[in-house]
Amino acid sequence: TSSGACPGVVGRSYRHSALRPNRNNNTFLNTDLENQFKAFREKAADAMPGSDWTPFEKNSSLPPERADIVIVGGGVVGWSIAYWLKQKEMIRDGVRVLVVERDPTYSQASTVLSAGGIRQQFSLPENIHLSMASADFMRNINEHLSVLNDDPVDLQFNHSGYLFLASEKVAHIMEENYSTQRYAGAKVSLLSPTQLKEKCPWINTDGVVLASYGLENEGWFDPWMLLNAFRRKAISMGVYQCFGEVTGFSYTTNTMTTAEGDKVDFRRIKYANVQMPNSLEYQPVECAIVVNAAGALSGKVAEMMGIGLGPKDTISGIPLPVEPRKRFIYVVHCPNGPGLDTPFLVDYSGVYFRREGLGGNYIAGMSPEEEEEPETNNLEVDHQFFQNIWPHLAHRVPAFECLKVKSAWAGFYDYNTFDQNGIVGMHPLVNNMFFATGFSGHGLQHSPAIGRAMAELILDGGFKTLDLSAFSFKRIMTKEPILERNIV
Amino acid sequence: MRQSCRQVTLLAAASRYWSSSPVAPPSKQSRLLLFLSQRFHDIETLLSWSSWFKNRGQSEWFRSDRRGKFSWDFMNHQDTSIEEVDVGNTLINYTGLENLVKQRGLRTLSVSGCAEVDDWFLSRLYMFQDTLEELDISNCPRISVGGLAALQKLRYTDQHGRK
Repeated sequence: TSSGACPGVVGRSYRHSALRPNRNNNTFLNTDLENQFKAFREKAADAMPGSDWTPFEKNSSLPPERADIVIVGGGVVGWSIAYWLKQKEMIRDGVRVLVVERDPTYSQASTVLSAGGIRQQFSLPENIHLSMASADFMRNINEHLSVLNDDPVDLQFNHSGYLFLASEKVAHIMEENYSTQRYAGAKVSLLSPTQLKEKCPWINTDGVVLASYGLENEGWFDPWMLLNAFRRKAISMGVYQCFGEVTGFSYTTNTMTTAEGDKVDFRRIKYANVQMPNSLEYQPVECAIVVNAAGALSGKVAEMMGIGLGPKDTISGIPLPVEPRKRFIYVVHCPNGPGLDTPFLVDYSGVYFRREGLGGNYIAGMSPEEEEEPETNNLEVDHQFFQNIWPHLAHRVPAFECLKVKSAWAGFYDYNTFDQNGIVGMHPLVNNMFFATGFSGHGLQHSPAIGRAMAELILDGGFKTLDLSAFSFKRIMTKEPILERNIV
Repeated sequence: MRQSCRQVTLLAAASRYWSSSPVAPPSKQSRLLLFLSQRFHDIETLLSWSSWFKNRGQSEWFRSDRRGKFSWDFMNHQDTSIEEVDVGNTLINYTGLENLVKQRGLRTLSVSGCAEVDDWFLSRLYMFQDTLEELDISNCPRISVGGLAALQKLRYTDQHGRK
């Protein structure tokens, strides 16, 4: 497809006939006529509605007028989906993908504010497989995401592993999870308190009955590097990037009647309205498929389609149960803390910490109780909350009794209030909206595998490598949560 | 891919030998060193055979000599497990460790000068955690702090390494 405004129609046809190779050995008149016909056909194709050509100058920061797939949200999940869509398309320029991100500085994006950990220690086999596939992707990341003549991708992956601690009450859950993880192929080992003390002499094993340590493919990495690697590669493959906000959709409605006589509205998105930042200018992008990868704001995007705004006891009355939840991370400095080989430790009290850099700094956090959830209208840090974390840290690691909080930040989880697991798949009533959201803190570590699964769903019609049908919207309609049985 | 790899090696020139990986039962006390060359490489690196041969003075080591001939003596010791492996200056990588998985008695491993050894390779060495005593990772340009953090899983090891 040709794009961009051109100065004049007549000049264009001459330029094209000059470039066209002259194969015909007929008379002069015939050759020239053939070229003229070809030029005319091209001109006509450009003038037809499907093409990008327009005689007027337009603002180049606007998105294109037409795109096959619009991905709402430019976080790591959105760009991963964009990359895999281009990776899997059968022919060159087979799909036109547009990624719409509303904040070019990524100041509130969950991706870059994440602690960046990846682990296989889940209780659901789907989550374990997602993590393993993503770790495989990251191990061979330069085979996937390297761009010619550009620097290779360096994720700064620390292979320190996750260490989960279990008390008496929850040790049985840890044992069941261990067998699920081993069956799925994750390399995890169980440790008794004595083995734990031998391995980590800086730990206080008081109250710990069992510990679970990931031997391979676990650790943490730099989320910004992964995001940029996906973005750079996807743009090099032809994905369009637009900084703007999706403010609404134009859709057609098809009302059908069920066997009982109830009316059900099936909607089909025709245009996605993308508004430019700090401006009233907007572009309706005609699209075939919309992917909702907006993270913490996915609920709002779904509301724009009327998902959840119908009568209470119908399918259209079920909203997308994703909302932002604020989580704090504190950077602490402890001169005598555990050294280079500190794993990402998660205690049964809910407190976690990991080493950050080589200067004796650590980052720590804790998931708050339901009643204590902080306000989500901003990203301000509540420093008082650290007083809840410190006693547990000091109890578990005696060296942390004298530490100093250096700084802190806050980020949003795209929290699935229904069962804290991702929602992947189509919506039953909106025929062309796909979801890839609600991962509740695991989106970053699963993003390569989620991108591949969504691309398979969209381009191949179904999951091919990993079956994520357990994460479909159906469980929300039938009210059957699939819960992750963690020890915290 | 493994199958085609074996077929390619079978069809290759007569001077190409490869080692069989002995089964791992309880080990004898004899010190065996097997210089395992071709088996550890990806399909792409099957083309660059000549750079892997390294001279070692001791006669206890099984190595290929100057002309690429590899003695079949190691076949006499088929049921023992390997204790020392030196794959320095080869193109061994993460996938190549598959071949060493069964060596439960491995005490020394040297991957010095291997260009493809990176942090993921180091993170996989946990399978030797009970027995590995010496690990040489000098001159491996792709190792970083993240990989060294993985080495905590090896309990008895002295590690020699320099950039």
